[in-house]
Amino acid sequence: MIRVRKILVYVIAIFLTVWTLGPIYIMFDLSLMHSVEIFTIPFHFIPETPTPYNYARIFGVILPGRTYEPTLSEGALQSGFVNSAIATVVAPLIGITLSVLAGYSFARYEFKFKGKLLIFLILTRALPPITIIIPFYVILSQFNLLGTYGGLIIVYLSMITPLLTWVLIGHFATIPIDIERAARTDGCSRLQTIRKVVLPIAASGILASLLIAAMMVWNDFLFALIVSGGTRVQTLTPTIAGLFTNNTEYAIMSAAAVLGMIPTITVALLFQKYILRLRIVDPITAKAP
Amino acid sequence: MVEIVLENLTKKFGEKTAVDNLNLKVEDEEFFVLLGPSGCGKTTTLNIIAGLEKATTGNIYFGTTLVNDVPTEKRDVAMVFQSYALYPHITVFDNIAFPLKIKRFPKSEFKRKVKEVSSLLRIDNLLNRMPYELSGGERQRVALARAIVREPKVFLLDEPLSNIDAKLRVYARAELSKLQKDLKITTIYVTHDQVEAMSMADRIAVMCEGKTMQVGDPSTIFEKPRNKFVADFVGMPPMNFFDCQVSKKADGLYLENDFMSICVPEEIAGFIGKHVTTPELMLGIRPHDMKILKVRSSEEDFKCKVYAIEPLGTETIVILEVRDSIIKVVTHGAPPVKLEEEAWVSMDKSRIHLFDMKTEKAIL
Repeated sequence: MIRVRKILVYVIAIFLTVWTLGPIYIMFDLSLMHSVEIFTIPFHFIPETPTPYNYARIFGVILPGRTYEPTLSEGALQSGFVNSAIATVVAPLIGITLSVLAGYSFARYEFKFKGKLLIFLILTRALPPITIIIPFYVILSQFNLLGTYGGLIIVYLSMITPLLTWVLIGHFATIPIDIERAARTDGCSRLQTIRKVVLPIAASGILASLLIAAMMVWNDFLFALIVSGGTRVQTLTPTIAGLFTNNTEYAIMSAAAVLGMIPTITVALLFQKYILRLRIVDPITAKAP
Repeated sequence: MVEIVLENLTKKFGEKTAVDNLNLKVEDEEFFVLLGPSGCGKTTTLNIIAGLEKATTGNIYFGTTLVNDVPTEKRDVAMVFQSYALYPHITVFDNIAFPLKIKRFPKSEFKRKVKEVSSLLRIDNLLNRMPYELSGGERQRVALARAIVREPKVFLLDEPLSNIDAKLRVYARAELSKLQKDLKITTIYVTHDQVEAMSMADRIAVMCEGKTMQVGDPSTIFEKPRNKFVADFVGMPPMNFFDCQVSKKADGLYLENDFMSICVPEEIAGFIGKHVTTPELMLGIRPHDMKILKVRSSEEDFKCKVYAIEPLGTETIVILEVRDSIIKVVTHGAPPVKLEEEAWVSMDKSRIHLFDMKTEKAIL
């Protein structure tokens, strides 16, 4: 009986692995093929004539022996990368600053409307993003923020700040309050306590939250499309999607997608230790006195 | 090195009053203990003195200075917490040096001071370790070192020995006591353990529900408890209490109930006659002031049944049943009776305490 269970567990594990990683592998596979090879039957799980051509096309490098075939995507891909990078660096950095301040305040202070504000915070996550894209579009358009970096960053801030704050409240609450009290009696002002004691202790949690926020921004498609689609600040995700034309070049698209995944996979692998350690603690109940 | 005065100190958390109109004066260099059960307000009082909480009403003076609105970091108090609250992200050395670094001591200075203090507490071999690598006793000494190194005006200790094993605790008590006497720093110590309080304090304030029940030195608190709460709380095993009636007979004043009848000694009789208004009283007598006899020695002895025996080595606690009450008597060595046997109990009449039934205040 136990053996059967063990086998079953392995079967399910293998199935889930293939289900999750399979498409990623196939994308990688396609990215190394010539367009022609993609459609051969039976499908080649390993490219028979692997080529760096697709990647070269993306970076605008002309390989010897190949003529340069223009597609509308090339310059756009690079700019897509750059725009995504800008949003992914700026929005989380601003967001984490705001969230640390807000999170600490919620975790350690009592003030009027605190309970209601907390509920308000979580409600922003309860709305499916698609329900608010039209209002967002209208508002941004009024302020001429569509197609600007500013508009993108504002939208992403509204997306990540509530979540970051929520997570950080729980995180700050897990720091025993006696440690902060010890710092106060040792001569630290409130601000010094935060700087010298609270932040260093919370650092890994803050870092993990920052990375999660960054990944959310990098991977976002809906808001990117609405705010930046078709403009000069178009980010990577709509750009890759834009490769779906009548003349879809799946190979190039796959290469672009693989490149798009590299940052997130790298970060996830490097920092998985910190990310997995992050516990979602319910801020309303896990309060410190 | 300062005296502390609490004047009409009250702290309310919403509807709940944690500290109720407290008035205390802690003398300079004194080891003052706040003793009481959980929830009596002693930790809250300590936090208010430290500045970590603000009093609802009342005043706190350090010497002649009113410190109500002085922020914690400027009060020059050092606090040791029950959980030690060591900074987990820095080494032991940096933990101890922390308060000095905040005060901007030059590096050579604080290095010297840290080394001094850590050799005093015998933790100089641990300076490069991280807090999570230390045992409970070692952490406690690091917390102490961190408090001592600044030579503050006041030491505030919140049950620092609670998390240490029993055997080490006895040793740590003596060390702490000696340390305080050597350093001559005003110390306020919070605990629920009356043994700790009795052994270390210059004076004790016994607290209950936010109020002080009695303030005095250990022997006064033990010998002359002012009310039933103090009499019950201090002393191990706790005092035995019996309800009884005062009745005047031909040959004197008697305290009686359904199993005993005691003739009150003359000195006390006069006192009772003057001060007692109702005939019902509560009699208190400590387990050490009673004896167990196999044979009745006087009319005043009463019969009980042995309910349990707790041999402690040099002493034995005998738990006896009489009518519906349980009483405890301590004997030296083994008692003369066994379980389930009947025994006679006699009291040392000079050691009885009498309490008013309603107010629970001591009459004697």
